[in-house]
Amino acid sequence: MDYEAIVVGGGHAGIEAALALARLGHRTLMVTQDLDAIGRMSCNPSIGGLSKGNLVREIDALGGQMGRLIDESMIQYRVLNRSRGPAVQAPRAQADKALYASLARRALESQPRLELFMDTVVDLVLDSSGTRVEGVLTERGTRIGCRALVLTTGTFMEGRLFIGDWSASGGRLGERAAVGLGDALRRRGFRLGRLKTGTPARVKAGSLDYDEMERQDGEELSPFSFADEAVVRPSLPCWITYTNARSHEAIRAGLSLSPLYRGDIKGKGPRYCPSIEDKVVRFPERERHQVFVEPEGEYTDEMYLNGLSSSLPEELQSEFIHSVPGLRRAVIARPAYAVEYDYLDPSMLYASLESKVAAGLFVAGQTNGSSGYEEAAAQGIVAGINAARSLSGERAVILSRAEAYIGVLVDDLVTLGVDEPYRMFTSRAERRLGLRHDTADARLTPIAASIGLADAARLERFERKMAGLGEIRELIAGHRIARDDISANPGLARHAGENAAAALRDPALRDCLGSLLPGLSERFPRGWIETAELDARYAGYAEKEARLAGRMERSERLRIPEGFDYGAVTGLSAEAAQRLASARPLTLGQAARVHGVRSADAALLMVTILRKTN
Amino acid sequence: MVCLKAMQRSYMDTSVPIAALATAPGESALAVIRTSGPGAVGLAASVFSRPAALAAARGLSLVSGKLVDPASGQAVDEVLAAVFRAPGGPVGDDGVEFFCHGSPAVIRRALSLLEAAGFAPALPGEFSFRAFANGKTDLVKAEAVQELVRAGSEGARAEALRRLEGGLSRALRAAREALVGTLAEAEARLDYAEDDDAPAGGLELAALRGVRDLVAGLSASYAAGRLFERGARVVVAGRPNAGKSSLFNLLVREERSIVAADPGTTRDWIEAGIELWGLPIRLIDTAGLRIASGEIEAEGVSRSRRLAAEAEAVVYLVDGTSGVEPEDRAFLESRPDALRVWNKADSPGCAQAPSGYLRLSAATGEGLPALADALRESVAPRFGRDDGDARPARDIQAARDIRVASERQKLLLDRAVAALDSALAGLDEGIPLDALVIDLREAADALGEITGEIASEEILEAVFSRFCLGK
Ligand SMILES: Cc1cc2nc3c(=O)[nH]c(=O)nc-3n(C[C@H](O)[C@H](O)[C@H](O)COP(=O)(O)OP(=O)(O)OC[C@H]3O[C@@H](n4cnc5c(N)ncnc54)[C@H](O)[C@@H]3O)c2cc1C
Ligand SMILES: Nc1nc2c(ncn2[C@@H]2O[C@H](COP(=O)(O)OP(=O)(O)OP(=O)(O)O)[C@@H](O)[C@H]2O)c(=O)[nH]1
Ligand SMILES: [Mg+2]
Repeated sequence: MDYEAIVVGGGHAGIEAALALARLGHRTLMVTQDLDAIGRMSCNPSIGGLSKGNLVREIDALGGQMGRLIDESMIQYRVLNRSRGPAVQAPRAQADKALYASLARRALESQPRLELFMDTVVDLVLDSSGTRVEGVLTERGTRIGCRALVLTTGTFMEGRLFIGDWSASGGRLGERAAVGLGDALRRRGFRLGRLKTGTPARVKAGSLDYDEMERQDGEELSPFSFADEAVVRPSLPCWITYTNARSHEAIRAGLSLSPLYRGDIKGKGPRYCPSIEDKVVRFPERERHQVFVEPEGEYTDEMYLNGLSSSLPEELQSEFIHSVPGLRRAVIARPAYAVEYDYLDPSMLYASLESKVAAGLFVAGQTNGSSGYEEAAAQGIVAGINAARSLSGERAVILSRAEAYIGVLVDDLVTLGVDEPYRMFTSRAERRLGLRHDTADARLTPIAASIGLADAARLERFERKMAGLGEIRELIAGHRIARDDISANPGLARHAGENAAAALRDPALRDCLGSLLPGLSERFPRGWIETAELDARYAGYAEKEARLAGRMERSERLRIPEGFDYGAVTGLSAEAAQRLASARPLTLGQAARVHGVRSADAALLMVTILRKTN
Repeated sequence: MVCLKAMQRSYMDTSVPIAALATAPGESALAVIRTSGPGAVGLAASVFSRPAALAAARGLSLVSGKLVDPASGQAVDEVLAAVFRAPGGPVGDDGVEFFCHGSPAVIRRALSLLEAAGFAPALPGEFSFRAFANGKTDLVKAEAVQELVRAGSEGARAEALRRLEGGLSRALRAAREALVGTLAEAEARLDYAEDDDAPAGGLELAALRGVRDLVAGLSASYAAGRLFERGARVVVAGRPNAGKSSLFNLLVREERSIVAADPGTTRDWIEAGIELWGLPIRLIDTAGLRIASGEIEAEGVSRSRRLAAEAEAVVYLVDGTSGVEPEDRAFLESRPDALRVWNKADSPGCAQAPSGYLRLSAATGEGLPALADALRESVAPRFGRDDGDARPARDIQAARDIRVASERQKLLLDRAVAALDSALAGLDEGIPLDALVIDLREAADALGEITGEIASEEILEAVFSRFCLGK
């Protein structure tokens, strides 16, 4: 049985890719190793956080699923970094893992044109020239044809698990690795590498001493999805505790038994998400490290020990866990472990996430060297959209770095490649102020609408909101500060005669909007008012930021002709020529960001391209 | 992170209007400032005395007028503007070339005006590069342009840095390092939630202020370097017959200026290069300030005012036998830092000096040592020295070395200072960190453009190595 498209893998990337393909009208098959593991959260029981929360809202604005899944499964909600400014605030929610996964599966199963199939893909089927994908070959020898293929293998491709000196093939603890596919791709000339990541132990909630820990409650629940009005769900607390000298001693004493320090693990792990061994070794002066104890769900007794990821032997794990207040009597349900897996060099992809080697092959998620559910899902929806568009002969959708964190993510991956698991940071974006999470819909929903991923209900809501925002902006711009305003708030005196926007820009006048335009809160939802207020308040900085970032704009637009011969550019350094030839950047801007390409090289390149195209 | 790399200005940003001095730096009869790029004519018009005429000018036409500071309305120089329209002209983009007086002070002010108007300082060879990109130079010259571009980006920077050997380049690096450190700290706060183990509290104001002062100091020493090269201008001003030429002669110890009993003897300015306390000084004798009787004299008077406005120091003479007149008050208001001198102290008709005036007799030399001291106090700091006494040879050598540093570098330092000032002000006002970081990035960007270093990965590196973050 053949399909228009096949998605390999039912993780966070695969879910978005498959839904986008089917929603855009293509008969799609998801092949995944275990239907019961669809949408499983391998590591932390949470979605969102700094920059990741922005990714979730962008995925949602594009018509993706992640926002709706977490809205229906959250068990705590918080906006992080309220004190640090608008661009780095982000929503984060604790998720009920089991519920999240079952909602994901239900979303796939109820999607017309999408079928699910349980098997493991072990090889690609390419055409005779080896440059176009035609299908997949599975472990049980089935050959399934397709014209577009999205590969989202997560941590499973030739995955290996490590706990102390124990090691076994596997993608997650208790789940088989996808064996054979990585080697097959190597044989076919794809560049693959090894990366590693780890997860902490889970402990029994009933065995913890809560009076020894600090309780952290969430705030009022609020939806990630622009399509959801409100969230009605339970809100559970998390708990904070700290390691101490005894824990660190135990860890130091056991270092020689860690697979990392023994040299068993070759893949590089993320610096920003270090194991507790790493933290103790790299920051010997730290007396303690923070641990968040988070519920894994409403109907499970397992708690997640955020901050204690490790690959030490199990006896040692229990020793250092038991040294931590609140965890002294903890019963360990699942041990911490590390996983090492194959990833495909993402610089072998175009920004559409299509392979430069085999047409019709798209790659997304952890397979591209990223880490994190949100990063995976973001690539998943991009790959799904572009696979669909290639099937119908349409131009790829490529989000720019100024438009979305998704644009930054994809551009970084495909132009820079990775040498450690890639995680999103707000500072990776040139236009952080322009990428606030609350503006994701304004930035991306028009794109979703133009490609057919925004349903009527979403569009209607969107248009209503944009009209409302326009009205609020007009009211702000049209309100002159008068005597009445000043007598109500004397701080406004120096803005007499100016409009309300000027007062909003004054840092000394936080929260003056309510008194200036008291009618707003009756007419418009709070979120809209906040968005309009932030826009007005930071307009000056946003412009400054745009000006700084805009300097590269033209080179972002200058396209490098296909099959461009870098060797023929006189004066280009041999190193740059070779790196460019292998990176095959699409635009001059990308070319300039390739490692080892200096600004002089890029300048020469530009001259040559302009001369050729003129 | 990658962000900062993208912000680094590069040759490819051909949409950015650029400006630079096209003639050799230093004192000369004529200087040409070239501007080019989309919108260049409009931008140039915004600092021109006849904006409409300039904006409407056709390609290859000349417009006369003045460069004017739109903020103060003050004229910087009388210039001739040559207008080019794309695809004509030497570069092939819209552009204006200003022919102005070749005084470094004029050039410096003109360039900062243009930068404030929105022109970026041109990178080395950037005009040629654009000309080539626009098909204005032929293929035979291509190699030369490639050389230029190459030298421009890496080579010239390295060369400039080599020249900046010693204390200054160390200071520049130190400033950058400190700034990258501050940025890393800011980014660590921004990219990890409050409840993560991210550093707590606000950014260290003191550290940032330190960076700012360091960069401002660098900018000042660039200025000092140029001052060593060119000499500090000390203008002797005053009403006619106050004794200006007499003082000038006394200082120069040469009968170079005509001393005469009729008021208005000196019609134009006279200049002498002298060395006082080891510092190069250009002493300038000017025409007396008053309502002029003839056209030539009127020109002389207006020139005196201009010279006085641009000078590093002004010695203002009042004839003690006739006292302070409205013209004197008007001048002193416009230049309150002028040294006030009560001349002709030897004359029996000389009245008591009002407070704030130094008594002097240009005829006998009485009071000259006190005047010299006061002059030194006002001029020495311009050379980056608090006092003029000691003259460590090394210091002067270092300062002389940087005279080769271009206007561009100085402008970049000033841009960094302005960005840091804005960040500091914002920090004071309680602007959130994510907005402040834009200023910090701009400062790092400007310093990076001088050193050729790119902060991007460096900052992330610093975040990971300094802070234990991530759950
Ligand atoms: C031990 C561990 C620790 C982690 N720690 C962190 C962390 O600290 N921070 C963080 O941000 N992220 C962490 N993650 C990563 C996070 O889980 C992933 O980033 C995210 O799940 C990736 O989504 P994905 O869709 O790319 O892949 P996955 O969620 O891994 O899903 C891949 C799916 O594809 C299926 N599959 C794979 N290959 C085949 C095949 N050949 N044929 C059929 N089906 C196949 C698998 O069975 C699986 O269902 C960790 C993951 C693990 C396993
Ligand atoms: N007694 C006395 N006469 C002085 C002194 N200084 C200048 N004179 C006389 O004042 C007259 C004017 O002197 P100048 O030095 O030419 O004055 P000036 O300010 O240069 O005048 P203009 O160039 O005409 O503006 C001359 O006759 C000088 O000799 C002084 O200190 N004492
Ligand atoms: Mg005279």
